[in-house]
Amino acid sequence: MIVEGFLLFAIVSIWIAVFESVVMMYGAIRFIRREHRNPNAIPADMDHFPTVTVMVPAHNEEIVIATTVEHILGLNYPQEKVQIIVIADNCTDDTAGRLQRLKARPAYQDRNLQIMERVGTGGKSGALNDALKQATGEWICIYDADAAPERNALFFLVQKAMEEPEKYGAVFGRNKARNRNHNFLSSCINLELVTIQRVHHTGLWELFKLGTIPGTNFIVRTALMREIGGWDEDAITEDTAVSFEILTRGQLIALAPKAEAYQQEPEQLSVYMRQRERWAKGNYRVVMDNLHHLFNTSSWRIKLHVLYYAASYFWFMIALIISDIIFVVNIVYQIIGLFNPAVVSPFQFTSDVYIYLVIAWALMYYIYVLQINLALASDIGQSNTRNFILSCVSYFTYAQLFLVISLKAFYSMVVDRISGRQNKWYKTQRFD
Amino acid sequence: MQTAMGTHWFIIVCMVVTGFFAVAVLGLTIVTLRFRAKVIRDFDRRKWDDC
Repeated sequence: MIVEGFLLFAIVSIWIAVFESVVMMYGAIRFIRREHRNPNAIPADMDHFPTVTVMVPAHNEEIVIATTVEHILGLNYPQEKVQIIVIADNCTDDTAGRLQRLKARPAYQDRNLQIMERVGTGGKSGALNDALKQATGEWICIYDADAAPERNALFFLVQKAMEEPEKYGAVFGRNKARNRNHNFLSSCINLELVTIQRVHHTGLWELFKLGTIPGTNFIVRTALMREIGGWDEDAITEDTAVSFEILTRGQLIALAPKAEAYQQEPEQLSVYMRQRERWAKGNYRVVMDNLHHLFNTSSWRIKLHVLYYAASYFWFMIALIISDIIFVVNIVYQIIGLFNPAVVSPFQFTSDVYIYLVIAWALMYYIYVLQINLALASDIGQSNTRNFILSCVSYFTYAQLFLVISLKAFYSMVVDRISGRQNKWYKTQRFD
Repeated sequence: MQTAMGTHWFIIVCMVVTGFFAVAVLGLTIVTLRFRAKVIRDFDRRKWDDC
């Protein structure tokens, strides 16, 4: 009876996951069609645009920091309206030196570029909070130290904010993998990024006006950020935590997909696992901290946001583990049964229900491949045979890493809670 | 047909839900293929770099 209960739970959970994907794809198609009807228009005059403080937290980033700041200095936005603060946070390398040499170049003499050398706690959040005290812009824009924003990225972010200045507390753009063809791992990360941004982000925004700020390539209103009290220095995923703070204040986080920035993605499995474990752990904590919204008078949008995160990180994960166990155990017992028919699987279902688990699983796999290929189709130059094959293969390889990461992060979070261990901030490794 | 759980109704639910998803997935596949063809026709001919 318990086993059959697991089976029903797995089937219904997979259905819900498939339904969620169908809804997201519907929203994404609507969004992308509308986007294609509205071509880019860059105004010659940006006098009425607000002032912006661009903040770049950098901890031992000597390899990439100069290139990143050059990209920011080259943004198509009125120079007199941009303040740039680069925070060399607890650096033991030449990050600050490289920034000073860049600032000394004649081409940048007239630019409002501040280099803040900081020694303190709080990691990225602490660095951003210190910079927030010196920010003079009406909006704050954050770029990670490895970001390479496109020339019009900031313009598109601010343009979106100006559509509904009373409603939009923050606007976020698209992050692309600059090393997407380096190896199998970076290619799979690219597929994941494209799918999340071209299907899930667009679908959520189109249908529910829901968005989450990523760690980089977004703007947030300075007054709102000060009202929130800055970034949570205890949060591992400070961006998700801030997103909930913005939503609970009745403000929206808008999507501006034309605001594109390139970033480095991990090329080694160990680096990738550490980065994702940190994200998963941070998101678990944010979900736990915000679960109360489901049971109070918070708006439907916040409830949906909590459910979306909770479903992704808890429910679907458990359903996947159960269905994977049922499949694997049955396959093993089928093989054993070839040699010894007396051995019977503990998950032996005599009904047609098992067939529907197989069908549900097949549907889930198909929609997984389909949504990746929808996302690829909407991204110029990415819909090719190589990526199609990758999308088919990645379910059985890359996507299964999510289970390992989720379980490790969950275990780590439980140990933290029991032992009172403090979270350690882990910086993703960079390369030339 | 009686299942081990005695839940004939669940099989009916399975059939209805699976039918709904099959139609939805078919529709989304057609839209995706048409959309892909349109993007390739409009943009890829202009020799966009793949990298």
